[in-house]
Amino acid sequence: MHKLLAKQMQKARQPDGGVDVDMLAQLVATAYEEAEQDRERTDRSIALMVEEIDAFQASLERQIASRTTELNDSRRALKLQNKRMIAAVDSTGYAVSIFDGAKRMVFCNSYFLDLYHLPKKYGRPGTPFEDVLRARIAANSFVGEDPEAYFNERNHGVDRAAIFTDVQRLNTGEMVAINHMPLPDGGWVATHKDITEFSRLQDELAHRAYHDALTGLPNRHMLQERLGQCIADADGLGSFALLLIDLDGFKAINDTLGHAAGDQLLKEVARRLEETVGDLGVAARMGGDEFAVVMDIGAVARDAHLLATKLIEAAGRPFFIDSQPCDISFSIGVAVAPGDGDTAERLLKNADLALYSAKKDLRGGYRVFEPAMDKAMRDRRQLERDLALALEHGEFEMYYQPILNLKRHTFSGFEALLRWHHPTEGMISPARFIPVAEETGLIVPIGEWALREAIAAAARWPAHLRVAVNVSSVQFQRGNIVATIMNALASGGISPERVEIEITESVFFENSTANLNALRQLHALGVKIALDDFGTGFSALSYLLSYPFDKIKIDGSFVRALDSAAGAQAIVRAIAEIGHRMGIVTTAEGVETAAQLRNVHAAGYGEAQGYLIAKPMPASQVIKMLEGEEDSMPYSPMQRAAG
Amino acid sequence: MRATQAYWKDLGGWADDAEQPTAADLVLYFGSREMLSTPAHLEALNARFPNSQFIGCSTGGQVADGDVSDDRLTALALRFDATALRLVDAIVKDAEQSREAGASIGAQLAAPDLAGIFVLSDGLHVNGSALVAGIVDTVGAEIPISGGLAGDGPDFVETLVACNSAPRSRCVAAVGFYGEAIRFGHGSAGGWDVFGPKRKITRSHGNQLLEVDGKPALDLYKLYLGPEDSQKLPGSALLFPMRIFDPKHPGRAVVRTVLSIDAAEGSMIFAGDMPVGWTAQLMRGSFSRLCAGAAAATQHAVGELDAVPGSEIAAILVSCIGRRLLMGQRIDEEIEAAVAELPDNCRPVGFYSYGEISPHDGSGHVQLHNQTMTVTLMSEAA
Repeated sequence: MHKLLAKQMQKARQPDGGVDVDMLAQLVATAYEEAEQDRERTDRSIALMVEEIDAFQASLERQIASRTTELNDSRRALKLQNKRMIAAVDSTGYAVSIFDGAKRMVFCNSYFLDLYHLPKKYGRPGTPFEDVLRARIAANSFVGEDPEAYFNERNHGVDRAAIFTDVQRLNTGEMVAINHMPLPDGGWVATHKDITEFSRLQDELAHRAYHDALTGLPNRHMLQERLGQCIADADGLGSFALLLIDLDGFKAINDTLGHAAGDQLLKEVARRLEETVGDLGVAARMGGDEFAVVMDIGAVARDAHLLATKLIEAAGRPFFIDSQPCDISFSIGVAVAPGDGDTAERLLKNADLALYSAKKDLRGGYRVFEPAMDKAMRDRRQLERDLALALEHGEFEMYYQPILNLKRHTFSGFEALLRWHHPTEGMISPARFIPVAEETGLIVPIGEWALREAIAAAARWPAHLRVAVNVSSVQFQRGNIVATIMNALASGGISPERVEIEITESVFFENSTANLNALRQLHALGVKIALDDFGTGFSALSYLLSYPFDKIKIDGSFVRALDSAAGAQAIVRAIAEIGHRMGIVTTAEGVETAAQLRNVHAAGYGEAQGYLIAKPMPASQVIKMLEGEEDSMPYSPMQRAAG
Repeated sequence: MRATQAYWKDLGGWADDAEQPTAADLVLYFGSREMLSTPAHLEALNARFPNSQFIGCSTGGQVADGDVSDDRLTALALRFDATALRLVDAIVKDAEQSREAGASIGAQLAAPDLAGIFVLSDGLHVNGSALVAGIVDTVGAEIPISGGLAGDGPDFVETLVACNSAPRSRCVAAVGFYGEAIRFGHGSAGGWDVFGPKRKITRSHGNQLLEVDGKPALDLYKLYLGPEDSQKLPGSALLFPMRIFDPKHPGRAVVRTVLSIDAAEGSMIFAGDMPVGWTAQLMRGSFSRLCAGAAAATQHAVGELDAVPGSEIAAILVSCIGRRLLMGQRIDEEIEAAVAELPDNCRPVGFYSYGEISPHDGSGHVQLHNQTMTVTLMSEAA
């Protein structure tokens, strides 16, 4: 019997033991109802649950669909972002690689693969670092000669988890700058920059810093370093030599043929220098037309002499620029270490002194430094300083030497001559200080002063007497000679015809066109122009054609030579003949003996001056002489000469 | 300790023959609202157990002598050898005051030698969760508390609680047991099975549930109950208890049962808090699983009781009215399943409640339970 039914029976049992059937029926019916209700509830629950689950599933599906869309959207956005990131990384121009803690590739850009010549597959995420290293070895884009050593070094190097930067030259030739930075996960990010071009430029810049762009020779900077190195290596014991070389005549070529030709010539000179020096040392260009040679340690004075001689010979072979022969020579100054200097500065200075000496004394030759050069130079510097002050201290004075007219036997005028009364050294010769004044440019103010003085002096003379003033070519180049003379004439108040300027052929060496123009302007004013010191220097007859001189003055050396040299007379006569034929007055300078005077007179010279006739005298004495003697001489030099 | 059971059938007198007065320190009694509303039952109890203290409540059915009965008042008289008692009560005017009432009960009972509490509360106007929390607040979490919420059959009209006085509505009564001799064993189990999707409580105020998954909670119940059972709300809602848990502590799940509904608002009043954000899942029961639950609860209580061999054991079963509604006539099977786990000499009393109070089987955390069978065992060591 079912447990429930038993219970129901028990409940329906009556005290007498019988069963209350109605009650039992009621209990049983209720039980059925309850069971049915429970079943219905269960069914209903199940059905609802299914519905709910369906609804939930549908909602889930919608969510999934929506999430999937979102996911796809964000995946696309991520992809785009990724592309942007890669573009950003690429835009830096760096090759970038990122590896994780398991030494597997996380990311690399295409530059990375390109730089190391790696096939594309090595850029895949997950690629082991070791594979990348092996691939680099295969592509030869590794560093060094031993692939295994390289592999181990790199593979273990990343384990150290330290920041490092390095510059490596790959076996493929590229220079790569690497920046390695560890990441918190044990991996690392490395940037690699191809600096091949940068490195080449750097080398080139370094080369440029040490080399002359035109000739390719080492420059002054490198020469100085080389000198410093030689001094350090020689350590005060070993000998080596420095040769400074200056091109004589380069300026004229540059002026006449142009800078391009000048450059070409410099290149040719450089080539010839290198060729001649060979492995004896290093040639360098110091700038302009100045070169230098540092002879290696071991070179003694004799070797320097030999090389200087060879160089001078080399310069002697003709240079052809645009098929035109160029006549240049080398002036060389030599200093030998350690005797001539134990510092680069000292050696350069002393070689320069030797060069200065070489250029001054003889062009196309060499001089070895001597301590006296140093003294000479110091003296000269002192002279320059004194000269600069002489004008304002009133140390100059004009002297005047009479010029005798050989036709009329009267004075035609005076040559104004500059005298310097040095406060301590006394009278200093013009031969000593004029070149210094010319070199320093002081000749311009001094020359101006001299012109004013001379013209002012002449203003006090009888009107038929002329004054001759020497004008340096430097005054033509660096001063306005025409304006200076006009001003002096204006303030002196004499006729331009009474002024004669004496120039030398050097006026035609530089800026000859401008100088000729200046001469013509002066001529137009009425100023007389005399060519002084004729017969010395080049004395090219062409100069006589280039300008219609009023007068030619034959140099005193020819006149003095009349007594001794056989050929002198021929020259003296020839010049007189030229003057005569060209209608130019000729003056003989430096006449000191009666014989000389007779000679020049006989040769046909129009004028003469010299100690025989009269020494230069101060302006006051000229006035006295003129007042005492009127315009005649105290006695006739011609008579003296005859007597 | 001596335990005596007595059954008093309305107008029919005491069921046993011992009409003689019996000495007792405490009498626990349970009966229908109707019975407890008449003075006769009090007179009968006083006559039978003079000088005793009384605590009792109305129910959704009394457990008496292995059966479930609606027409018998069941009483358990206890005489202690070495345990002191204190009976206290509190009135709850409004469910909002539940925690305060609990705190008041706790404060009255608190003592260093307090060993355990048995509490009976009004079943309709008290938030059981808050009440328990109030007691625990004052006596501490280590004191075991058990008991239940009074019932009113399937009617949900009024529940009554007595404490040495005539039964009253809105009353909470409690007994404190003191001393080292008293031993307790507790067990609580449902046997209900969750079904359907997990839902989220989206709107509630204390024990008033308004929305689940953003929809009116009442609609959900009506849907599951169907038109017929919906008419029988709120009682029929007991067929579908709700298992709720804080998503942060899924292991501390409790089962909640419905006390009343507000059709206008679409809300339902549960026997305990329904916190917003907690996960909720409907439950349904099958006869065999509910019976198995009753057995499991009893087993746990027996296992926990550290009884001196040979000593007498008193058993109080508090089971949920929902279980009775579901099982109908077969509700006796649940009691039988529980009795089968008890020692031979132990015959339980008990009642069907609107909420059970017991330590959680797993955590020991005292809680208000719903839809469970809870078992309280008592014994004395002396």
